[in-house]
Amino acid sequence: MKYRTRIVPLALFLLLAAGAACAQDLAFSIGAWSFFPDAAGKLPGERPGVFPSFGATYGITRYLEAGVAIIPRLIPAPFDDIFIEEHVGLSLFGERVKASDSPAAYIGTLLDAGFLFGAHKVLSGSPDYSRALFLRVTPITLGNPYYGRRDRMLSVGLIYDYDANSASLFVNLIASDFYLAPAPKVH
Amino acid sequence: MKKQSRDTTLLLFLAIFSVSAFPSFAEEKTAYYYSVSMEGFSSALFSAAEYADFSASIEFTPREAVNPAFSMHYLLPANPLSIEDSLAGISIDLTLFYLGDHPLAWMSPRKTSLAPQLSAAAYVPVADLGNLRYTVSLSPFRLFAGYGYFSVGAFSLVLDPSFAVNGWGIRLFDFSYLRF
Repeated sequence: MKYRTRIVPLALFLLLAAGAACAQDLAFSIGAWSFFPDAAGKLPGERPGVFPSFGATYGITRYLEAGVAIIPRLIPAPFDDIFIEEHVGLSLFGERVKASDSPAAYIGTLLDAGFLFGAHKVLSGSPDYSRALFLRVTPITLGNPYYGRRDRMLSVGLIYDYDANSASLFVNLIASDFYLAPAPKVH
Repeated sequence: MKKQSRDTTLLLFLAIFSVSAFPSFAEEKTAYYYSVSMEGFSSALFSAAEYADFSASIEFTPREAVNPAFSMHYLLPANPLSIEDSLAGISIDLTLFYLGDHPLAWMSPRKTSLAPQLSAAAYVPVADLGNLRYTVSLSPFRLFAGYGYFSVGAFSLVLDPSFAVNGWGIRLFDFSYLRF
């Protein structure tokens, strides 16, 4: 179990490093996570709240990307829960970016797989931690690096907390990626 | 009789002029938009849920500095979903200015104007119409992009019925779309 929990973040980190080295595209991202309870009624953040996310995505290939984000609780007690996620994403029905200067399809779909680390009761008591894997589908993405901006909409995912052996759903209603390279020079 | 006829003609002329002038006034001087936003509150007057706010607004001097608007809101605790805890509200909103050359231009591939907004709102629970609460909010990172407004990170203060501060809130996103 310990071996696996070390391997997953390491592999994702290497992918991120590879993405940064390729520097095909780099964006920073803002979004929000909505967590839903598992079958036992337990939330990943243990109680309802508002969780924005701040992160970055890196292009690895024309179809693959990787991302990291920090997801702090803001409501009701700011920073009492903090999640960190790393993921790899696959553009399902077309390239994210074209090899040439021409734009990729404006509308796309993403499938992400990732790791979610949670620190809980950070400020309000004895902290504890959670570790989970997640799978996420984003049915609609609007934009891409060519346009300098991408919105990921209505993402739905499944979190599997392998320590607690529990699964729960989450939703990212919207997340926006702001590409750092001036459009349309990124390809 | 002649004077009566002249008065009637004048009244008819004024009526026709008023009716014909109203649509052009409405077209040029007012704008309507609807909005969807996601927010939360750290206050005893609101649950610790994620709220979805659906609103309809009319603004009176669009794209001019100090642009006032009037909005009606339906505030729904969306996660966890609790329709019985939803609130109805009204707000007075003031877009402070429109700044074309601004430091947040990178947020959109379109040409945008920075349009920060100050709002004062009153809410009542749909299930308990007498139980008022208020918010005063500032949306500093609000952009006008032709089709409507996009805002992130608005901050609000929650006030109780005696206008004492009872907590705070934050609006993560707000998307507003001009209707006509």
